[in-house]
Amino acid sequence: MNRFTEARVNRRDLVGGAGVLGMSLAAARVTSAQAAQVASPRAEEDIASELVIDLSGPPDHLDPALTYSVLDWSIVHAVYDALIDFGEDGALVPLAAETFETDDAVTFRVKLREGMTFHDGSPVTTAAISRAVRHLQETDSQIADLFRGITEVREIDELHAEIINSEPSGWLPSQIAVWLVLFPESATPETLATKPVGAGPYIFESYEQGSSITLVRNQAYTWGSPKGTPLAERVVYRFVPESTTRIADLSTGTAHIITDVPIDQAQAIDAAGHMSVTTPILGTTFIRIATDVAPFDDPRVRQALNFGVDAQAIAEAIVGPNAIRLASFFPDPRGLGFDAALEPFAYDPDRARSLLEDAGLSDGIDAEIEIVASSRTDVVEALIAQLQDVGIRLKIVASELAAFNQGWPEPSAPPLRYATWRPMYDPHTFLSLVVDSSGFLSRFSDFDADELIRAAAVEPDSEVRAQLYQQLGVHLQEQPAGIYLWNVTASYGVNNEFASWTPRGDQYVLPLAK
Amino acid sequence: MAEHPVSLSSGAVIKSGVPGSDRNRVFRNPRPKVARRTLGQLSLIVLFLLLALVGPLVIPMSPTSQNLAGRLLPPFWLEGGSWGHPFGTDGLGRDLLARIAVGSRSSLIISVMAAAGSGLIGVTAGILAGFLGGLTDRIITMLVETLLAVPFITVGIVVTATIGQSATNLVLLLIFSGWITHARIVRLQVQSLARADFVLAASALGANRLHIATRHILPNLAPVIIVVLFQQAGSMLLWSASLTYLGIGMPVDQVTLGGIIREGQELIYTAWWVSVVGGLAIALAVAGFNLFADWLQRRIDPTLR
Repeated sequence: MNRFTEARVNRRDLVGGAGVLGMSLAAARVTSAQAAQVASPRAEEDIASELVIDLSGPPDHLDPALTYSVLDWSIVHAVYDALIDFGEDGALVPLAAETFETDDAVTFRVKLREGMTFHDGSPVTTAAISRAVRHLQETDSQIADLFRGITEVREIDELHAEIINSEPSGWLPSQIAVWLVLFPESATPETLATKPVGAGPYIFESYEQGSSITLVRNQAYTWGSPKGTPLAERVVYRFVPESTTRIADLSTGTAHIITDVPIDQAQAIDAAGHMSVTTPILGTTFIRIATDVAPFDDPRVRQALNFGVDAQAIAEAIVGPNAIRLASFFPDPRGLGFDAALEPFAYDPDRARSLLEDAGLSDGIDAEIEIVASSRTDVVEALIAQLQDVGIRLKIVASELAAFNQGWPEPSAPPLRYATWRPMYDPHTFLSLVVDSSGFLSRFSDFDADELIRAAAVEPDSEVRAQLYQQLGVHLQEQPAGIYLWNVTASYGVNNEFASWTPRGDQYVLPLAK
Repeated sequence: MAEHPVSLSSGAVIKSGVPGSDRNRVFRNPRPKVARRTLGQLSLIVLFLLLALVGPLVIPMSPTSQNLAGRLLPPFWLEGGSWGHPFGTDGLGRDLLARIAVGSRSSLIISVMAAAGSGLIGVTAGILAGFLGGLTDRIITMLVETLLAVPFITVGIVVTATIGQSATNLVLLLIFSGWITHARIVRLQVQSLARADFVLAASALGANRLHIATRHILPNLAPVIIVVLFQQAGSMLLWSASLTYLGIGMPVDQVTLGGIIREGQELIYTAWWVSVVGGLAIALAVAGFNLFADWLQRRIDPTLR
């Protein structure tokens, strides 16, 4: 059985979805009224004794301040609750906070839910917010700067607090949903890194390094969290890098949910009597173009790169049924700044050749493109073959993940790199790090883009921010910062016993059902 | 100085070696009763060499031309297959036969270069250790034992992470590991030969060490070296494919047998032929080299005839 989630997005949805997110965030008021999506607690008899999930690799970090990937977040958000969470439509919904409000994007008023406790039995109070903010600010983390604008957490009482920023930060709630999770006073740097204790739906039990992580159900998590309700008493995350092994695990019953199923293997899962599930992720796939090296400092060359790839054909053939070519970095209406009216680059090899000639490059270009060694190379090979047809000859440089991540700002690294970024509910993090010329992952320099990114960063009104990002999208077609490819899609194999499992738009694999 | 008849003793000294007087008989015509066995032993390597050396020249399909509309076509013997793509196509619609041929050629070149480089270094080290003995022997032996303890895959990962992937780096990596085999075998053989009567006689007649090494020791080592060389070529091919499969061998944009298997792995449940055909080409090569080495050993070692 093949199942596409309700969050499936097609071209019609995209066209009709303009402005939806603007509305969802403009109020910047996340209250319990929005918690209509809250899941009902599952009946005890519906909770399985064990659920085994095969992930494609182990988490790099369990410390919430150091988490940068879905592998990290899948564990962290199973153990911890953040103040707020992303709903299926991209709107923020209350989680540990009963309400989360702001009028000016400077002061965010929080009211915690009553009666919540951490896994160690201590109560969840506003002190946990101060603690979490302090930890994010003081940890040597790539995202620490995002939280350094918080000047104070004013604890009004045990349930009420105000998070006060130095300037309007309309993008902050989206960062809070990812990173600002609550942990008890007993937590130490060591326990944060190795034995997390939160207030989330599962209690951390054990970690066999590089092999598996075991969680047990938090019996107190019965308040109908919008994140969902636990599916099993015991959850084992196994780390299985090979997709064929993961599929074999599902087929043999060794695992109940598997991730990263190649498009061509979905039918094998269906044939085995399980469900293949595909869902669009609010993430973007692109090839970053560095403008600090010739000839990529010439916008005509960067446009030629975009006109030279038939990304839609590759997406349909290799990536998956939900993959759609993007007009810029913004993936779909669930994320701020998406512009349904903005058309993607057409596949136009003649135009690409013409632009190269205009740039004085009639003999073409030779360059390198960097990829992560463990990633699928077929997509990049397909792109390279198309670019070769227009005279852009690329050589693949495969790097280990750690080296790849370190290479983002390196001027000596290949000027092109194939990458994905998620979540993109609010694009501030991505744009400020990768596109803004001062971002520490950036090798792109464009004054107008910087102005738009910085204006959006301090704009309190979400609708205005959305418009600024839409302007940025148009500008980034004239001055491309990348080859814009397609939205990220996720594919899973699911044992029918866990048919109620709900994939998320941010790709966290949480053992929960809504 | 008169040449010593090495056949006087060397056959007894080196069981797997070759008496010098037999060297001119190495490539004589086989006896009729072993002709069929010879044909069988040589057919695999001949087939692989044809695939690797002639295939890329005569196969009309391109190994790199993509056709997304024609991806994952099965081989001709399966339903939906055709002679247009005898082994089918891969995930990007590229012809597998053409890719296997080009991949075989690059694998052959790398394995032969790595085996030759390993042989050169290993034989030199083995002769020095076995013939000079003393401190030289201890240093080389210690080096060999140290390198034996270093996990090869770890070295591969470090090399890839520090200096990147290339054919040259892969060959150097294989040589780094492969010379040890030659050095250990040659050292033992040299130590045996050094005590042989004809070597002692040459020494007694006043021959210097260089003369003994080049005129008496080395010729008697040649058969062993040649056999090990071909065995190692197969082994090197297997290693190069394995490292490439693991992503620490050849660059990912090169057509290689290991790369074809890796690409096919993700397709194994629906397009099994991609990795299976790649695997069969490696099996053909490795079995071909090994059987050829066996045949060669029988031809040049009188005790095995």
